[in-house]
Amino acid sequence: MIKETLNKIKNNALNEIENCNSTKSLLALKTAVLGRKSELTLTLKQISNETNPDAKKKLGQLANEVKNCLSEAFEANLKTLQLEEQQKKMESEKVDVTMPGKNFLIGHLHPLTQVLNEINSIFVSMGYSIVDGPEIETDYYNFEALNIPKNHPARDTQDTFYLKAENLLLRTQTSGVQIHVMENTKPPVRIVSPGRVFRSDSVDATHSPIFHQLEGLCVDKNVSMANLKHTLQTFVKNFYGPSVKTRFRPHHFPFTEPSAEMDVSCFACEGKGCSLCKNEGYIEILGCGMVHCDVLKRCNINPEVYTGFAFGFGIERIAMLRHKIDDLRMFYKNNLDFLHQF
Amino acid sequence: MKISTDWLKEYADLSNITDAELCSKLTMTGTNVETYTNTSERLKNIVIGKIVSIEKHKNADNLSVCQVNIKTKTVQIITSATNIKQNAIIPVCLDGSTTANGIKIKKSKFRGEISDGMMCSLEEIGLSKADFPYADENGIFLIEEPNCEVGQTVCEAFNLADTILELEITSNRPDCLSAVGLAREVCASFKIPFNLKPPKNFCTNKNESGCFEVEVKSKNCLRYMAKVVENVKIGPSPSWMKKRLKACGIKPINNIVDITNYVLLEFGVPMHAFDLNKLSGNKIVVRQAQNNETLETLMHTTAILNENDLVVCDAEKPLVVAGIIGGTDSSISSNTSTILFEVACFDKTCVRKTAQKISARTESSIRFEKGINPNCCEQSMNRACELIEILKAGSVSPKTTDIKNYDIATKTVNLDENKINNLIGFNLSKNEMIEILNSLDFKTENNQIIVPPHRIDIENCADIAEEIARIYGYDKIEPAAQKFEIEPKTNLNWLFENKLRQIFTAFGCDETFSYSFSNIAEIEKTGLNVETELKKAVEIANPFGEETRFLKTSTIPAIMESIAYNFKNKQKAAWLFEIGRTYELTEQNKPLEPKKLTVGLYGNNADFFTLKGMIESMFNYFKIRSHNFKPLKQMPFHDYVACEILSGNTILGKFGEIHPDVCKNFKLNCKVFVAVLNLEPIFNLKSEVVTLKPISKFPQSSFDLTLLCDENLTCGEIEQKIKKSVGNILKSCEIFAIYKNESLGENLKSVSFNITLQSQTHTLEKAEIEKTMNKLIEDLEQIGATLKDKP
Repeated sequence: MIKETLNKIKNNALNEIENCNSTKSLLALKTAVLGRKSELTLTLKQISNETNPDAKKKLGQLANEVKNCLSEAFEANLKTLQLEEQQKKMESEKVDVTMPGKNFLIGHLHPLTQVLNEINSIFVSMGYSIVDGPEIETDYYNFEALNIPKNHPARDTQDTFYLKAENLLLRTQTSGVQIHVMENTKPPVRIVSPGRVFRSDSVDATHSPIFHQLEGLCVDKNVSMANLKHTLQTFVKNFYGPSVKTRFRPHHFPFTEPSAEMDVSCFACEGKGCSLCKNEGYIEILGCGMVHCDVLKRCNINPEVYTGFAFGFGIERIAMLRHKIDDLRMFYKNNLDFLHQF
Repeated sequence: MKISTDWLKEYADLSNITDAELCSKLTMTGTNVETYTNTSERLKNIVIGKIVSIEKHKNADNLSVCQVNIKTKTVQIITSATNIKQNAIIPVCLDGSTTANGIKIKKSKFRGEISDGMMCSLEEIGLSKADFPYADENGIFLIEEPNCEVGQTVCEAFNLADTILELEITSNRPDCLSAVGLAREVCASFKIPFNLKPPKNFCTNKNESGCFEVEVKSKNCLRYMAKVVENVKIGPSPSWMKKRLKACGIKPINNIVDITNYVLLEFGVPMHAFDLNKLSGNKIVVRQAQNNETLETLMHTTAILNENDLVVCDAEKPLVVAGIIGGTDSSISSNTSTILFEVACFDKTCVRKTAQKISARTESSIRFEKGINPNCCEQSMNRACELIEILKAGSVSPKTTDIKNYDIATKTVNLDENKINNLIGFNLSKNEMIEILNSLDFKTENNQIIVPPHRIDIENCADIAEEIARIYGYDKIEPAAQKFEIEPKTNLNWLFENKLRQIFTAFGCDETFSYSFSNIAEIEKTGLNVETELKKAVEIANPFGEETRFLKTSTIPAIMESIAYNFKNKQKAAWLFEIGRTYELTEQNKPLEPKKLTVGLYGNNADFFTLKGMIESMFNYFKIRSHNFKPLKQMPFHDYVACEILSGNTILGKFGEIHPDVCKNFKLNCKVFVAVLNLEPIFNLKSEVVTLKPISKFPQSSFDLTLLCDENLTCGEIEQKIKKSVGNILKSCEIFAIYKNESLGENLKSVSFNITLQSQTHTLEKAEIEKTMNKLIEDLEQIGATLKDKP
């Protein structure tokens, strides 16, 4: 009798477990089938009342079997249902991955800053220090000390803003920093000095009353033009990539001798000739040379012991060539449609 | 400087050198070739034709339809020219050609009739009436040359084939502003012989007849050479001379004027010719001009002179502004019969200043102002006389007047091959060096290099090193790495500025760059006090218009301009920042250039606390804690939404909302928030190295506190009180709500704080927390802040 009841409970329960389709109903069923008030529990109580020890033992075994079997069935089905439900939940959370992400606004650094930082970092990694120089200069530092005395034709090409205060002007080139540094530092000297320079030019696509230059200076024993070439080639390969070629042409600057201009192979056409390089294959990017002995002497550096090289270039020009910007004024308009592209 | 290869070939055998090789070599040895043009390439497809027939155009009265034989075929040309005749020989531009003045010719239809090209005028094939006086300048060039054959190109027919180089000559090399100078460079660069036959002192007229006197009264005239040529026959120069002059951009005029220009271009030493019969008193006087003396120049201008200007005069009046431009009075005309050649040397600074003043940059002045060695005068005088002879243009007198007013010794430089090798970083032998120097006309004697007179730029060993290195080839110098010990000197200011840039871009601000100038209009527009600003402003003596009169004393106008510019462009928001300087002069005229960080915001929900949050976060990043905020009432800020940041007595900056009047001035109908921070004091306050505070092992405990107080009690005051009351177990104290409502009572507000306590030494027990809280509530009551909902 009890045996039949147990089998009935087992079969009914297994059947119901099979038909259960949610974890919630399964858990309710579990309480109903295995709980304290369930038929199985009641039956177990009846077995404990059995007097025949043999029958009691057999029934007990059977009852345990039923209980274990049902427990296992519950656990197995619960796992399956939980998996199914989690899967369904995830399905319901499906996103359109092509929808735009949340916007974290990061501002843009000015293209001139970006170019300057890159150049500065390269020279710093080569052992150069960055120094700052004054934008308001005396005639001496901007011209005289650099072998450009009064009435020198080189002054014509650098239209200078003079200040009402006597003997002061807005520097036309960063080269004056060379003098400040050499006056204050015993060689070896290795510096770069980026900064703002001024020319009283009318504003148009290629002229600006303000632009930026970077000056470099190295003074030490046994510094040669071969070192200058190596230094600038190293810089250029870091800045433009390893395949870029350089070309040094003789030139003239009052404060260097020998002097040179450096061209780089056109990065637009790789030297084949295009509109950017005016079919030359090369683009002029900087002026350089060995520091003139008179300049060294003026800074109390003995040119018989020390030699040096210097170089300088325009940051706007580098940035214009790199980003194909054809109007200098863009750098100072601060148009967001411009700034946001960098 | 322009020069033709035709001329260079007189001194250098260029037969095995292409134009491209020539130009590249010149560029790489220091004479930069900007462009070069081959005339035969440029004038290709322009040929000689013969007009076979002329008919009226059916649909146009003023056009003619011509059949033109060009040997290989007959082409049809439509023209509006009226001087054409049957059987006339004419130049024809065929399809695809370009005229000398740059017009591209294409086969096209004129009112239904095909035209295969265009008949040309003299000008269109690059010639002028000086070349063919019989030609009609306004019509088609009707060729009368006997040797001209139908079918020839114009280059063949008129010997126009040539290559013209356009060169950039650096200011230290005036000797290269000449055919001879450039040819010398070419020969040295290619290691080919330089064939210059120095002109001899010529004299064809045995009897001295032209009687004149030269007097030099100014030290600005270093040398004055003069020579008379009689029996002058004025006429056109030969075509070879005209061709070379034109290639250099000089218009041929007549044989005498052309000789002076030719010699100038050949040797780079300017010269002049006077009509001797027009000179008063048979006298040349070189002197400083008198104040307000005037001269009608050949450029049809009146030069007004003063005592700083040098003039060449006759007995009465100025004839020439020395070394710059001649006057009309003494110029060569078709009736001239006796001339005086002048080859002189004038002081370069004097010429430069006068040329600038009278705005006359002439072929002569550009050479004088770069410097000419007076020792170079003879060969030009000799050459001019030689040309008179060659052109049979007159007879040269024997007497040469030569007044020397200088003492210039031949320069020598010691040849120190070790020094040169060390400076350049190559290893040339002494002989290799001497060979290069000799090719540039330097002579060497016992280790001494004798500098040729035309090389005024050579002074020292480095100059010699450059000569050797550039002819040897800069590109052949092997780059060599430097060996040195690095002494890194980190520029902390640069790192600081870059960190600021990173921080503000992280906040979403874009970096701007502005000009350093300011002007009164802009100061007024920004609502700043003009008088105060101008008092400290650095004023420019030669401003380029009103825009650049001052250097800026404030960065606010510039950021406002950038804001306004983007607002006008309909940008919904602009969050901008810039690191830049302002400029001031101290009372001792010492310039100050302090750096500022300027921030400007509008849109994207920006408000005062957005800006304040940026600044506080930045201070927090740099571990700056000594600062406090104090309300500020100052233009251009809003009267009640602005403050100053102080650390002790040091002003770190100010920020706030921009005053509505200023916004109106900039046509901004939105709220704008601006901050100006002084970088130097902020840099000085930031701490470099952090010392770790032990991290507490004990649990923290936090509670909320909502206070009711007068609306004028500031959050800062409450916070100060909380900090003081709780003491060192206060971990944090954050405001999370501020509420104002009538229901609270008039002029009252509620402020909610979340307070977290933690001890470094022990677990905070309930009793201790309660004690702290009760003390805090009591302390807060002292400043009028009471607990809103008493527990």
